[in-house]
Amino acid sequence: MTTTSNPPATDESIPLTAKSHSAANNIFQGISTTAAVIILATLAAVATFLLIEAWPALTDSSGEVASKISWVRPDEGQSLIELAGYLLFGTVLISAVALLIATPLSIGIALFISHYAPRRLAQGLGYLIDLLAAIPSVVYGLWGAIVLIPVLQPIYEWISRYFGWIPLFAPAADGTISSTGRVAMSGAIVLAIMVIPIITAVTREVFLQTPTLHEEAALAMGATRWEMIRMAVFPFGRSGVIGATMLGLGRALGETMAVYMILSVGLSYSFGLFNAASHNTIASFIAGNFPEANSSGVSALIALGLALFVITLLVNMAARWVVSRRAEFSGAN
Amino acid sequence: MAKRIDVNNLNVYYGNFLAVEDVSLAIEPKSVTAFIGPSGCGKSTFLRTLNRMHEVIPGARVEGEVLMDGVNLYDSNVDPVSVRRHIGMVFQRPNPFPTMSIAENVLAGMKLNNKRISRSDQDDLVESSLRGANLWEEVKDRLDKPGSSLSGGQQQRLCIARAIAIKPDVLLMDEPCSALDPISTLAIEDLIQELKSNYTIVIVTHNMQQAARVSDRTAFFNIAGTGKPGKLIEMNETTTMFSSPSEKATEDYISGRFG
Amino acid sequence: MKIAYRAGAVLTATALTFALAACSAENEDTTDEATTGTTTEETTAAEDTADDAMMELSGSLNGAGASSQESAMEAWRAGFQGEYPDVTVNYDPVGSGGGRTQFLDGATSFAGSDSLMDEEEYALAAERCDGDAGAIHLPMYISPIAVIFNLEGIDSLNMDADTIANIFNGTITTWNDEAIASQNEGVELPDTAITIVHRADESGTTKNFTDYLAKASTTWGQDASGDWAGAAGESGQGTSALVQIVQDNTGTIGYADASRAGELGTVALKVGEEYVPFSAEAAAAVVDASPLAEGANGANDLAYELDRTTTAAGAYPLVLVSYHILCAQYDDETENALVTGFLKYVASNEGQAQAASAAGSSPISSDLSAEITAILDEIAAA
Repeated sequence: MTTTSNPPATDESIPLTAKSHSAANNIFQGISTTAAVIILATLAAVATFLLIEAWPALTDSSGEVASKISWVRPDEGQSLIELAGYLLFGTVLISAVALLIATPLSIGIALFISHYAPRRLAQGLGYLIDLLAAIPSVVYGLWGAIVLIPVLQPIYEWISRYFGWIPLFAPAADGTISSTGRVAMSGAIVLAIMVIPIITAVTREVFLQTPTLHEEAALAMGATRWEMIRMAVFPFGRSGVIGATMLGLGRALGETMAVYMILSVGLSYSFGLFNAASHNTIASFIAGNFPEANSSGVSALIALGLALFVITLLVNMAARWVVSRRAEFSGAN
Repeated sequence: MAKRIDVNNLNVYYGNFLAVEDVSLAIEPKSVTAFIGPSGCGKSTFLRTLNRMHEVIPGARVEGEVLMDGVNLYDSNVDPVSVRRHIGMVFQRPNPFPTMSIAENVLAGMKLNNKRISRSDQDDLVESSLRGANLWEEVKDRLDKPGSSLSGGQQQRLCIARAIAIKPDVLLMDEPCSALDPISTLAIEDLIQELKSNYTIVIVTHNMQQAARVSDRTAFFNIAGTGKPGKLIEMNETTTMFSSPSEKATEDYISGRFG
Repeated sequence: MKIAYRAGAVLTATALTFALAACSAENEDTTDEATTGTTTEETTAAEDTADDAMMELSGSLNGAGASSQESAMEAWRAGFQGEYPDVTVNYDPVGSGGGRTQFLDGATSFAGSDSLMDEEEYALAAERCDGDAGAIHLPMYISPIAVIFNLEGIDSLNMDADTIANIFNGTITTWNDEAIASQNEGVELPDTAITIVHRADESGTTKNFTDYLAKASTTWGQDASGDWAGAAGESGQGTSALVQIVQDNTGTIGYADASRAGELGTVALKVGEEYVPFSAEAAAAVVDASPLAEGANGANDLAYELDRTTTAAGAYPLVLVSYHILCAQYDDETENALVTGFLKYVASNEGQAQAASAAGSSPISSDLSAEITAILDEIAAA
């Protein structure tokens, strides 16, 4: 830092003891520090709020709070903890399937834009993808519930008939699958469509950052374009792609409306993606039960929200760990 | 191994812009040919047309022909990918793959050919290529470390090892020492001298002493002005070029009286 | 889009929760904030009607609660504000639970609720309201719940409560089951599987439906619950989604506010020896035939224990009754005038007719209307 506020008017040199911090420098430092503190304080405030509000439900060992909540029925295997377990399972299952669908597609689209499409087409596509990210989730939910699901249901029937031996596609105990298509798979597909723009936008930027040097190194060895991508683009973009995926996962985990409007809810640890009344997610459960909840119910719902908060945090930490594990080999050094 | 290249009436375009005009020259096998000339004269562009690497830039195209042992590299049935497997390239800045270890960098080209080779053959190839690049003794104990952990000069030799691991016929070097310190430069120059017994080498350099030291033949490129195409002014035995060039422009450039 | 709107309600409610948590220390004052403006007592000869000295009302009245009353409330608000242009009535359809909480916190002057206050809430109400009388319920909105189904060519089916319970607890699985066929002679029932459709969210409709099943049938085997506890099936969030699912898929059966049944087939319930289809009169009749709940707060608290097993002729016992909860005493004159004025309008024949045309609800009987008016007059006079 050797910024000076007054450049010397004469050829007199600046003394070494001169103050090198100008006012602008101090102000900017102050602003950015404040911003950082505010965001941390907000996060802490949210966590504190969740904890305080959830406290009655969390510390309810006697079941007094639970007895006032219609959807907590300990004697039917639906205590708050068991409920949270089912909901976490549903949330993670649906989000994971959504990511499984979205990630390869997003990488494909991002690669097409960054390395295959002619420049003009790539730009148009880029705008289009960004536009998709701006569509509110309610619209996706409505579209999914009214337009998409009727189309998907016969496909589910077909898949279930021929690939039913795979647990994910297995029919329910009575040998049938949902006749309406309001199932976890539909939720996952709509979620996938919602997170594709996010993952694509980030991966595209990362892929575009690949150093030309590395691309040329691969090409000069006689790599085809695909081999060059595998050799230079993917390794370089690896941590970026993981980051983008986690961003998408974050949205999928917390997404409410799409699942809320599409899923026939239920509670189970079933992997059957085509079966109705088997899954629900935390966010959708909260949205569905908040309006009629009494104060005990609100407390329990917030406790569920806290569980979602924790799960999202864990997922992000896991992602960071994955990224840092091979830091030595990353493109950063 | 070590093939000759003949270039006939080559024009290089970027879109409608003529970058290099009407170059004809011959590159002898098992020799070192140096391209010299001021910045922007098209020597690097021309070098890249020899293995079709210029095609990486959208809109780049050529007219004329580049013959490698009589086969035109620009024939419609020639695949640029296989051209590059025969004509390797080393770049201005060392560019080992940062996510790969030293050994993986050397084997990268081998994996592209989808050849399944045994573990011991792989080890042999790594050793022979690194020995060929004079790097073996320095890195043999840390082959599994990332390539980016080496010094600049070592990285460049690693890139050369990577290039010769796929056993090309011709090796193109685009200012390979411009990012290196004098000692590393010397090591590369020594290496070039050794390599020419097996490969045809073409080197672009800004450093006239380097051209004089390492090359057998030298080609001088020049440009008439900004926006004008680069041209081949003259090409001759290096000793002749540096002692008695036939063109005034060449003499000016070599003696430092240029521009 | 009802669904989209509900999302908005959730968000609002969330925001409110934050706001409430933030200012809980100031709750004591919020009663005053709930009613702002002034009442100017201004009796002129022209406005002096036969009954009483008309008050020129102005100010704003805030309520919140059951979303079931939302469309009716729109009509009431428009009608009332048409008569008193200086009055603003706000109603936030956050849901019954949220509405009661806001009322008990003093944030609103009255609540809309599909279910009755429990003991604890009665106690809180006694603290919240002026005087010692606590709060009372007034049944303002009666809506029959229709059991709707989608079978090609069939508009109506007869069922007793046991059959409906068995369908919704998964015992009866096909449409041509003997239990259904025996009650519907001459109807060609297909052998398609029954897909039951229930509400995914906790709702007053579910609570009243399961209350009916619990009390009127012998086979339901569970207590009433706002959260679905029957057999697993398809489910939708909110009435619109549920109706949509039934409409889109044949072989489905569900339950929804009767005004939303549309072209779908509906079930006539067995009451006594007769099968009664839903109708406005039939729904109002069951309320009149029901006793007040045991825990009711005095004679003015019209909290009904709905008689689901009634055998009264022409009564349709599967109804949702939505109440307005208000204090038995308001010390603030303006608030008193606004609350009683508005609620009297709601209970009036005109108000009930407005709600019936806007929301498809069943008007309360004129006896009940008169009773409610008398209670409100009593509060207004205090």
